[in-house]
Amino acid sequence: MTVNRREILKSAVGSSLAFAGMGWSSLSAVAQSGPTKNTLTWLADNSYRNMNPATNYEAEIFVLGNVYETLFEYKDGKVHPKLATSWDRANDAKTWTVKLRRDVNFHNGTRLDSAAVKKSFEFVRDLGKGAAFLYSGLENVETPDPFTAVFHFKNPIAFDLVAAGQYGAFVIAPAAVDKGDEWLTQGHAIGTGPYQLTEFQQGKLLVLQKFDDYWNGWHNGQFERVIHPFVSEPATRVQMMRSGESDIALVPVSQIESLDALTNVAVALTPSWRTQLYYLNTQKYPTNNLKFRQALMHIWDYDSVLKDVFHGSAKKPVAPIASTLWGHRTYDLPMFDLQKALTLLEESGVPKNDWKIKALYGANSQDIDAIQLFQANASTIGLEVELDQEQIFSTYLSKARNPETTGNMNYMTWWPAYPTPSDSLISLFRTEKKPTFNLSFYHDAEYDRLVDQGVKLEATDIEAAAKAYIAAQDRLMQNAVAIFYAEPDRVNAYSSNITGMEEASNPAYEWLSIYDLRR
Amino acid sequence: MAIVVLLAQRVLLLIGVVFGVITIMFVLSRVLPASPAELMLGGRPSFEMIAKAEAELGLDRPLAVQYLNFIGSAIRGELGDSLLTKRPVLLEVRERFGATFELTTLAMVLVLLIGVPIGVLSAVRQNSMLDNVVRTISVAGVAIPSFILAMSLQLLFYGALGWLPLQGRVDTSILLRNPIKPITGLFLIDAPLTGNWEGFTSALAHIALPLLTLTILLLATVTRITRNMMIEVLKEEYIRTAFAYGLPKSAIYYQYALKATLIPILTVIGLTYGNLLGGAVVVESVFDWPGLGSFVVSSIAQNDYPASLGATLFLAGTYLLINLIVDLLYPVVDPRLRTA
Repeated sequence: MTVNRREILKSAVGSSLAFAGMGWSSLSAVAQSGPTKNTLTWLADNSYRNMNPATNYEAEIFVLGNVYETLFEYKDGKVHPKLATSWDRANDAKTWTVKLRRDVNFHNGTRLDSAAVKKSFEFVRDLGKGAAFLYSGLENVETPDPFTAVFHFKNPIAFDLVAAGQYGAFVIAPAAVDKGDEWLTQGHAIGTGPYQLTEFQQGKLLVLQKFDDYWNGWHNGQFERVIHPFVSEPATRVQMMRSGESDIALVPVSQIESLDALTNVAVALTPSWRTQLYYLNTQKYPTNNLKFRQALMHIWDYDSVLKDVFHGSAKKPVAPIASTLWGHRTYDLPMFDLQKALTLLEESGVPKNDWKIKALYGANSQDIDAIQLFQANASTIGLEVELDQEQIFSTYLSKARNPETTGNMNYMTWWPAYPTPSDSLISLFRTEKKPTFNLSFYHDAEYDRLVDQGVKLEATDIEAAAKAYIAAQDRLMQNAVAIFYAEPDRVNAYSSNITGMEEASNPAYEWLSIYDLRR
Repeated sequence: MAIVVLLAQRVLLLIGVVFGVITIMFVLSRVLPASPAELMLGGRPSFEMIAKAEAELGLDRPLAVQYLNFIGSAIRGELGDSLLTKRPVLLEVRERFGATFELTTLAMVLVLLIGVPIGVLSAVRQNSMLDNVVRTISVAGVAIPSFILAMSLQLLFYGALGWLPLQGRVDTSILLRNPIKPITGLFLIDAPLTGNWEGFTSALAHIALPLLTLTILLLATVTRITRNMMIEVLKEEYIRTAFAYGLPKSAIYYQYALKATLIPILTVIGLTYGNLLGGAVVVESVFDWPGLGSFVVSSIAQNDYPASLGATLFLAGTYLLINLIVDLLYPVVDPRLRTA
């Protein structure tokens, strides 16, 4: 048989037409195929690597929160039972007795009991990674009966809050603990959550399948399968949302208006406990001068940043602590006022020749836009701002921690590991000999005393703890240790035929609860 | 004999360069201020926990000892485990290299098949309409940023026409139901070898857009080089003599003139191909192509030093190997070099 050039051309044209007729949509094709019909396609913006819930402290939590569950859940300002039914605190808050649900099975069919809970929490503590620092004071867990676990700690602890946290608090099946760190890290999972992790292809995708035996039951419209492919490029995620190939995706804030205008896509802005701030370095000249720092707070154009940089997807903070978390006070944060800033700079006594500062910041496009606006505003009143960008976060941190290389302003986004103001107030501003996250280099004995007092009271008297935290925050505001400039929402684009986005979002947790979504 | 000497010289040089790359990468990884131990631990570890992890990783030993240990491991082919995935770096690299190799090799083949003849035609018909079109497209191809071209092609072929998939190496349905069994790591070969025709069609459709992007970008360079070199060669006396003898034009262009331009074309192709194997980072990112480029970038961005060191070592070796092959092809193309 001979093939001539014309035949080759004909087949090439034929192939092109075949592709044209296909109308490519590979994800929707797979979503409609297979044994289960109600499939959610949800795009991941991160390449997941560490799937071990005992050590994870990163973006994998978005998935892990649908596979594993915690003893308690924090919602609407209160701790609610989850895998626990009730709990009791000893007077010294060092011993906590937790009663467990009796109807909970792990994905491998074994029953949740106190021995499993003991094994899971001790596993987290012993691995000593991720959020294990929260459990470093755990001495032992007694199991007087199959559904009672008694936790003994070295020091008083608000265990109900800690174990309602989003890191390190998941209950892992004993069979998974026996397999060890590496097995879990590489994408195997046995939890009690509504979804089982059935497929994990690192850097490509993962698949969640409905856990039929889930203790909370199933209802019409809930998703039976979740396909979660990794799509790194934001523009690609946006295109896939537009074409209907994807059901949910995190999208850049600049796309909010255009996506919301589509009939097949809606955009959900859901509150988070994230706070974006610039530390003001209290040790480095010239920001070691209080009036100088106060001046910087008036150069920040809060409204323009929220409107033009965040496209309305962030709120102006009311305090160092997120407005939806207990223990905050609503402060009148400084207003953008260049004249006032100029007056404060002059009153500071810093010679005009020294009106030069360095701002150290990261790679996020919003950070870049916001600090460039600050730089432009500062220059109009004679303040020179040198911008120093570090793309790699770990390098940024090392540079910011070093007194020789740190900035007068250092960038940070923070959210608490568990529902408490202490996580932010201690990590960000408590005195440290060698700073880890206190990048204001703030030293204030009274502040330290107040936050320490808050931590002690947190376990026994939450109202008194809140008072201590508020008094501590008063000192932060008086001493102008940081510019708190945004509480960003999570920006999810989703297919307009999906309901339940509000119920699926809880500012206490970074993940979206797929169980609460319906189609 | 001359080829054997050349080969020996080049291999020695290759070993020296690889050794140099290892040293530079090692020093760079150690002078970065960030702590790999902190990355490995995750969360908010105390300084005591970091110190303990550094001891586990051997980072507390003298730099010279660390260096010798690293060299020893590299010689044994042990590149360690990624701090983030806990998987052997060699495995991570091997899995991704197939994707990069398949994409870039196909692009180079297409570029050679299209770019060289077009360059020759353009030179032969200098200042004709064809030449003007080729020159305009070449300038545009060199000038246009790769991400703009990639996204424009996505908008056209996925967004507007719906002809081709947007990203990835195969459909999700293939990954889940009928994955292509790896033999060579090249899906377009492995799929037919294993009779997975559904996978083959999907892989072909998925490679189309990144391949088109890379081909357009590279075509510009190769076409311009070929054209310019051909124009110079066509002015040579021996070509005029060939015309005077009345030899067929096609023989003059393709047997005599083109042959004389092959050395610079080979050089450009060798360098470009070597660079591409290091990962067409932008194209891989835009199309979520699971290749080496995106792996290296994410390893560096996360300070996963075993992964970035191992991948860079592998890339350097590949780059040098490609250029060694190109060096060895010179005497094949130009017999005068065999005795030089």
